[in-house]
Amino acid sequence: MRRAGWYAGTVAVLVVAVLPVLWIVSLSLKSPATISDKRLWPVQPTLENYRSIFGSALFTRALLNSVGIGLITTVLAVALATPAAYALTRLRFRGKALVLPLTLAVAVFPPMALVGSLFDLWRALGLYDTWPGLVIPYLSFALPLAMWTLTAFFRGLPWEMEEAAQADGATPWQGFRRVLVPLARPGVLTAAILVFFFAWNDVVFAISLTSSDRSRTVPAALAFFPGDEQFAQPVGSIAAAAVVVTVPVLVATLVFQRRLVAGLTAGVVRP
Amino acid sequence: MSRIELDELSACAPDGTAPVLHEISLAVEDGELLTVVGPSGSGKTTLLRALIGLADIPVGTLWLDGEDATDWAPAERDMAMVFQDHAPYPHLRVRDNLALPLRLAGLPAAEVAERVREVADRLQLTVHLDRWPNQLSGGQRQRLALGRVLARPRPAAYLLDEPLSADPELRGRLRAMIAGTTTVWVTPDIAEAAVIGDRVAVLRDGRLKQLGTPQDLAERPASLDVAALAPLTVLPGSIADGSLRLPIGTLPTDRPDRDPVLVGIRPADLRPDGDGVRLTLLAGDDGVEPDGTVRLRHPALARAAAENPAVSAEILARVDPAGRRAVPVVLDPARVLLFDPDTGAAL
Repeated sequence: MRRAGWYAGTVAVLVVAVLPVLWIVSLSLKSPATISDKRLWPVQPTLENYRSIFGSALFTRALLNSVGIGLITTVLAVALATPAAYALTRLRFRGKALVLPLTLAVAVFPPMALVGSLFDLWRALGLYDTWPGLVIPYLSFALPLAMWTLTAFFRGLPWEMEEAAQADGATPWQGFRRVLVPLARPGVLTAAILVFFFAWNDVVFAISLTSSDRSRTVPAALAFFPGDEQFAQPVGSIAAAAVVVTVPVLVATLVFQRRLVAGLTAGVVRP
Repeated sequence: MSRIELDELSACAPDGTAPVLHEISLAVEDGELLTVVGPSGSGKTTLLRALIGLADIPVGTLWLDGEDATDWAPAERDMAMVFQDHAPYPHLRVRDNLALPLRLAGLPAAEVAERVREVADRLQLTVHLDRWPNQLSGGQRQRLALGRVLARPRPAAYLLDEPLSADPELRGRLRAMIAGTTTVWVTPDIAEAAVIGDRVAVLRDGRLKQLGTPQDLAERPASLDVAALAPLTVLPGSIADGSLRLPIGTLPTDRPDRDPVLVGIRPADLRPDGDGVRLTLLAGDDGVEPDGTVRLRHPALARAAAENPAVSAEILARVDPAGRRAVPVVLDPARVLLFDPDTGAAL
């Protein structure tokens, strides 16, 4: 009985989580003629939608913006959060106990409450519709995320290995580079992936703080896809674009999940 | 090869700023094996951390071969340390764990491979070379920790923090492998310390309580637990007006009055005849140990032993018990050891 319930629950979760994704994949493979045939399996699968979006500057430019803004946010967030997490884990300083709760307070601030004032501020500062105009608000959410992830990870690291390395004849720098960096790498990678996906998936800031191809990311650009004719919804193109931005996330999660779990557990022994 | 000398050295534990090791002065001669023994929390590990350069040294001086090394970085001291937890580098396979110290020392790759192969062979790690540390048993981890240290070219000194806690079988082989190199070997077991060490340092509460050869410690122990290294009978007693009263009789003494006091008597000092005070042991059931020590169950001792765990419930003696229920023995009063019943310190 319990077993049956378990299976039923699993199936329910799979239907809710996977079916919409499959539906979008299906839509992206349908031609305009069959797009509303309500079948999960496309009758005449076609790559026309993909050809069309990759042929349009609207989408390719948005993809470039998404990748660029996402990478810049990731690099900055990880570069700033790693030393911060190190300090929070290893050093003693006044007000240390307040840092993480305060960053969390920033992170839970609703983005919708910010975009209005940011819109005015960014226009006044000339940041509206620029890459930095998105990178900066992303950082304010990505930094706490990265700091929390990295602090939790660093707390679990066997820091005494640093001393073991010195006893084995390493200089502090060698101990850091040959022992601590390899041990910390999986945590930094995890933080980087989480931050990148945060920036990659954002819609609220992207639609509010951009107005042109210069900085519009893919989620924001979807709304601007032209239909095949006036007033026709570009369903196929939107579905194809959605697949293009979703698939890398799924693949990366699957690939890195395995690697991260391996990195986190391989050899990590605590007596 | 190196001579280590500590001069009034104090040192701090990793997480604290107050010293847990206080004004230690001692010297380890070139090639000597010094064992350090003491209860947990006595500062043994902190002493090793101070020697290798990981502990803060607020006061005192560390001399290495006559040079002031107090502020030297660990890498400059060329010492090799086995940590108490035997923790390997979790991100490196056994082979690379063994090789890392050699690579840090800048040895050529061929020599690194040769030394790793050799030490793995001697410590039976060869079949585990390509494993990850988390696949090793406790004994294998211990051998890996030893191997990381033994693979290195002879360091100035070996510092071993309970190196055989997971598997004491290796004691003889480990001693042979480090022979001739200055070594400080920490152990919680005073019997092991006496067997292994050329000299033994006894630590308690961060202070050096006694330093000497195992024979010194047995002859003139600074405390009851050091005295217990050798067979010892401990009796309750009291001193009044020049007499030391014991359950087995009364001895003359020149010590000041004190009540109570713990009295230690070595079986070798209880002889069948000779100079000294004659005592008669009213023996119960006798038993003879393989080393010739006779266990005499004195009726007066059972209750005292129940009240004080330091007191022996029986008298150990080197006498001939054959066919006798009352054993006459001779004891030289100058040979008895007196201890404070509360602290165990010698009086």
